[in-house]
Amino acid sequence: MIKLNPYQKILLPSIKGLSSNCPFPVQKKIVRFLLLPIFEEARLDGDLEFLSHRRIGLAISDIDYQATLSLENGHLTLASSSATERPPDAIIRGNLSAFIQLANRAEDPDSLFFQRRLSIEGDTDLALEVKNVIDTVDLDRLPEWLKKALSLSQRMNKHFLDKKAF
Amino acid sequence: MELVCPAGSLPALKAAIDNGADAVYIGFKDDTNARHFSGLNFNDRKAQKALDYARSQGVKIFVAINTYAQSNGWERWQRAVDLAADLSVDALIIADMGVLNYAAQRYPQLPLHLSVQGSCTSAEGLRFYYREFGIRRAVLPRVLSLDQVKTVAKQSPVDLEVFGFGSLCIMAEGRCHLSSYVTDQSPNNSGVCSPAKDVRWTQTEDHLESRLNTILIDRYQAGETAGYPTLCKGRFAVEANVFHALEEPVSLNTLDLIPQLSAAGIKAIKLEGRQRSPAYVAQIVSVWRSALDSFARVPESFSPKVEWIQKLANVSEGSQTTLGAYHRAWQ
Repeated sequence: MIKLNPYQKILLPSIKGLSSNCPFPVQKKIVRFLLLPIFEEARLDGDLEFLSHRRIGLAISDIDYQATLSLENGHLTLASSSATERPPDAIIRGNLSAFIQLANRAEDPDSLFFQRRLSIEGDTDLALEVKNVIDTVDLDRLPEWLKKALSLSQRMNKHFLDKKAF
Repeated sequence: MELVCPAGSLPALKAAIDNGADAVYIGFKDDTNARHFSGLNFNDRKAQKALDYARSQGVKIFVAINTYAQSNGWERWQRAVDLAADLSVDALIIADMGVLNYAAQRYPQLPLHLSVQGSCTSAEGLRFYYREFGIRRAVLPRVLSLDQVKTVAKQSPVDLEVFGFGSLCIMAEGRCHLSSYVTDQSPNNSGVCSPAKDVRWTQTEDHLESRLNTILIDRYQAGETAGYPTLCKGRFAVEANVFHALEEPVSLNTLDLIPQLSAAGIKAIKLEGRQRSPAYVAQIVSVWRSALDSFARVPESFSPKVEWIQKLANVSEGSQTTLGAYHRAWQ
């Protein structure tokens, strides 16, 4: 049994509650809104085409949330992960803290993998290409609001999530 | 000593330059370089952007064209050399004699470095490459002890570069066939060791299993640090024991040896990891920049700081570092 610190005990169930109660169309809009500016350059460069007819899952274990991403009209979009849909071709799994550190480039994904804080299931080549495309995103060129949101998430992680139970 | 840093993407290149690289080495998006992984490396447009940024910061760009050309695709290696020459990069890093010959004949002014994949470990070998192709620098394989490095350096007709940090290969660098034994693809011939399409990670009830082309190569217990799924770092049953029979998953770290390498006349330190993220590049380059600057300021009292070592261990395969062959007594 993993021990949680007091912040995690409050924060994680709250985030879990928010994400699990959020209707799918709203989730899809939020994800689209967030991902659009991040992957626009990659899309224009044709770097997302490998995801045509493929599905990549991101599983955030400690809030019990899984997002399945695929291409829709060339754009990276949240796809339904209901039981009737085809399962993702690959899943990248980790805790919320690991994903926040990845999004902020505060930690290196291979290091997180060596430390067993991230894992890959399914098509390793697909997961590797997703990782490499994320690495091509120029964070300096993101809109200011997104930079601020990322840095806020990193602060939340540093002060509350990425601390050991005490 | 010049600090030569890896980049597999534009953000990684910027991270290297912003953290103090003197030179950055990159590869093109095909099997002409030994890190041919999906989604990695530079097309001509990104390479131009990389060069523009490097030039604006006074940093050199080297291009690795360090796989062995195949007869059915020779044009790709020619095209890679032509593209790098058109971009006016600062040097090409080449292993194959055919590619060296093409570059030397066609672009005599373009500096050539002998890649580590050329696996040249003797002064006589270096003299050959210098005489035939006019190489200006060679990257020594990580198989030599420090004494051997010193001996080669004394007699070398060209500048020498050695590896300072990064994942270690088995002690047959540039001549390793383990990956092709299992997957039919190897760094020298296909630019890839353990191609990701052949790798499968499976979580069972008790273990994380890694398989390469369906062959089980390692089984990690919960909480045990993992490594890259390469055959050389797998655990095998030898008689009654299951262990890392070929090599432990560790990273080379030679911060301790900076004074000796400098005294031996080594001109450049190479950091490994074009397949790694911008976060990794930023961390290792900043540590090595601090270490080399600290050594340059007061050479006689240089000693690696604990936080540098910790930072490097944190991004290391197996979370461990070693001096590799440098501390061996076999010479």
